[in-house]
Amino acid sequence: MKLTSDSNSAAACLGRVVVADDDVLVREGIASVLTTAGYDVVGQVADGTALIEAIRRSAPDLAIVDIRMPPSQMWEGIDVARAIRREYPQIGILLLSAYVELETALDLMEDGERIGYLLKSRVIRGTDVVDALARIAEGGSVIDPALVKELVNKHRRADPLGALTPREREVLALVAEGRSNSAIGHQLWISEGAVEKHVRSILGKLELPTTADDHRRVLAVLTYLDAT
Amino acid sequence: MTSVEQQRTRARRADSLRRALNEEAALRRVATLIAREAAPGAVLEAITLEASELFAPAAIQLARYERDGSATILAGSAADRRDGASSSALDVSRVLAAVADSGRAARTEEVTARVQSTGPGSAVGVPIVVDRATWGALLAVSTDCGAPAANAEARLVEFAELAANAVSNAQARNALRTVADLQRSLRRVATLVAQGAEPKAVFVAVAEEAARVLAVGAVSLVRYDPHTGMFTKIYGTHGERASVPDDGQWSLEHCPEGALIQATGLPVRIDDWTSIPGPVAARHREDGFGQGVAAPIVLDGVIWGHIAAFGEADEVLTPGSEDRLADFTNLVATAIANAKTRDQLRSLAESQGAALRRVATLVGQQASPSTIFNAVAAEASRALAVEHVNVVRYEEDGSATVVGATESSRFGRAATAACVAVVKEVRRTGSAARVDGSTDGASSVAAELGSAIAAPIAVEGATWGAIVVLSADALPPGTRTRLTDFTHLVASSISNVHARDKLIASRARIVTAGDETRRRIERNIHDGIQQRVVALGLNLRALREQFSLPDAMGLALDDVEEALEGLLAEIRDFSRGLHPTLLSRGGLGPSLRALARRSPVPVTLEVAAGMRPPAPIEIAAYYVVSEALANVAKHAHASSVTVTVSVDTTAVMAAVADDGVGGAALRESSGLIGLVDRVEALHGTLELASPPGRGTTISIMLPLEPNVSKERVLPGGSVTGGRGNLEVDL
Repeated sequence: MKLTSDSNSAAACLGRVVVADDDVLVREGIASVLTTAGYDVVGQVADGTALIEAIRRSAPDLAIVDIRMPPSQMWEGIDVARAIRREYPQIGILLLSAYVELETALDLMEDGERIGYLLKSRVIRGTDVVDALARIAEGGSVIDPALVKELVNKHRRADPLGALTPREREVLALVAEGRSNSAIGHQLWISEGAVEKHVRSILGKLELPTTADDHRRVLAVLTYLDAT
Repeated sequence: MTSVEQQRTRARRADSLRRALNEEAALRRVATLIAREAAPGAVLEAITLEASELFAPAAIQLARYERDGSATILAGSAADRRDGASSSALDVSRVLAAVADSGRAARTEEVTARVQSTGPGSAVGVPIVVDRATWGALLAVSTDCGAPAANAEARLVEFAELAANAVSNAQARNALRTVADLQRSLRRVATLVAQGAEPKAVFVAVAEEAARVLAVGAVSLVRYDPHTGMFTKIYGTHGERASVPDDGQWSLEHCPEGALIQATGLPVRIDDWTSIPGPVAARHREDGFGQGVAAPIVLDGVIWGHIAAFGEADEVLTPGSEDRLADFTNLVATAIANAKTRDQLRSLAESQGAALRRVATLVGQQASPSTIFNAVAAEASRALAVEHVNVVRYEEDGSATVVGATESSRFGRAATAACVAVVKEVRRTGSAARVDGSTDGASSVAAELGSAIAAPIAVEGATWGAIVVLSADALPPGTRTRLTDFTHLVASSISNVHARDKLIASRARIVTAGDETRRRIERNIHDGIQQRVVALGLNLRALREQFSLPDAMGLALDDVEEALEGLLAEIRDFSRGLHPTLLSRGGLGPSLRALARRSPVPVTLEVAAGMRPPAPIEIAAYYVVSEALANVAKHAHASSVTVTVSVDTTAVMAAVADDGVGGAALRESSGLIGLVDRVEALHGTLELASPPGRGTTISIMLPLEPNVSKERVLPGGSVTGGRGNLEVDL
């Protein structure tokens, strides 16, 4: 484990982050991106055990965790995320994975808010990871758009989503990704009030309960999309 | 006393003496006739003639009483017939009736008032008593007015006794002849039965002989079916006169004699059809049949059928006819029983051959060893008619394992001990062994089961195992030999099984190795290429953040980043197909749902999995569904597909059914052929139903206990049942 020097400590710090990935180049790369974005990377680790140790030591605000880590290279990230959630429920967690699976997403969402689940490839481009971290830090949940797209585009015999307008489908996808109304408004260049109207219409058409809680809304929409 | 008186007296004495001498001579002549066994008719005729001489001018008549109370004059003096005095005929019948009623002598004066008599004449009658019954009467009838001599009765009685003697002798001879006749008939039929003639031949012989012995024309042999309540005529002697042809059927209510037999189980006699209702009785009356007798054929305590004999309308069937018929029915029953035994023997021989064939077929069909061994146990059980059969395999550690067993109830400790004993003995000696109450000395074993026999199964020169037979009854001789036939069969099938096991194992190894390779490649891609590309992307991003680049270059690098992301997506799709990582964590439900989500054809998914099957089976089921869905997407032109998966404690079943064009086949190129290998390596089966135009259904069954996993290995030479038929602490 290597502790990153607190070079930007004087600057406005977006949050303290620990990065866990067994590939040193990826780890370093992510740390570099985060540092550039204004995060304080307080730890870089290669496996789950080291991650727990780093968290105990550094008490970070956020952890970026690769799901596959030694020893089995299978699901360590999920298990360690659970452990962190149990012991340090205040820490936001962003899980990175080669694949995004709905079952895993639902599993993670059940553990509460401030959880993100993104494809590993999202770290390459622009602001994807940085943006996700910010949303998690603010208390939101993040679901990879690829998974949402898969769910929304699923071939259904009798598609209940057919009742939605194209705009409503866009809004639904963004809701499923865990975005807040204001974030959706931002992205679609419409007012937050318009988003709210769309959301109410969508939930009504899909016969889903309305909720002010973004996280609950994500769970409800994901469960709905899975079930239909 | 005057000389005239003296002369008269002398003459009377001389007359009396002469008459006495004549009588004696007459009686002696008749007695001689009887002693020579002259025909009864001739004897009776002689008696009548002799008496006529002595009693002249009175006429002598000999009458026989009939069943119906009438009397028949069998012999009579010429004088009477010549005169034909009607007046005396009346007296005669009265006297006859009086004799019949009283069984004693009677004369006219006693039975009729003289004044009322229509004419002169009188009659004296004495009974002819045979076997203490009044068989007939001997009569002296006079046409003049004088009454018969006072001592006429006494003199007639001597002749009557001779007549009785003659009749009785004749009857005895008759009875003797009848018995001899019957026995000759029975012998003929019995010979047929002993020679193992077909039942039909015996039936024909029985009917014909019975007809001969009973002196009737119509004898029928009839079978009764208690389930249908129908009689079937097997054979009848009366050909075209029969109201029912051979093999014809009629019901219980149409067969009065059969119904009586079914009701009583005893021989029956029908003397008079006029009192019996129903169409058969009517037909019998119409056809002119008289008395009828019938006797049941009893087989194994059940009325199998009956024999019926019918006389002509004017014939009298002698008393006891039904009992004589019963003697024949016993022979029929024996013939049927023999035929049954023969059939059983034949079917036993056939069944053993068939048993061996059935097992051989199983081996040919590549059934699992446990299926084959259980089949061997079941077939041996059936062929040897024993309840408990175990197929046992010897293990290297000295224990034995039951690899096949009959589905039988559990048996106790003593049985187990006997079983263990024979199994040990076979292993020690390499030849068949037997334990039973007498040799074992353990009375508990004897009480519980008669015998335990084990025969070795020798494979490649070693005692591979044994077949063990346990029976509550003493096992018949020859069981050991016949058991050996089965051990040979097991031995030869084991060689096949060995070879096939090796083949299956090698297929399984190939499939497993393939899976392992795919898993390794997937991991290599993940840990290697993917991480390299991610690192590369991160590198690029760092460089871009480090240097301020011209806008055009920035846009170009955006494209590069996008391309890298696209590359990662391709890698992701590729490696996801290599190995379903979600399967190991989430099981069939989640991973099949993920498959269904990505299917371009809408999928209805039904997964009933209460438990996780072993990984190789789970993986196989997943791959089958995955490959089948890929095929649907590529070839089926389907509008929807249904995936059904169920997991229980015995098997995983999966079916993928689409509504597409059908016509799929397990061709090398189809991608389905690889699934067959995968499924069969796990002892499973794959079926493809794809009629053109009617969709395609691929279904698989993967047993959770594919091998002899039911068996229990026990230490220290102990044996236990493969199907829970032994429950013993060992």
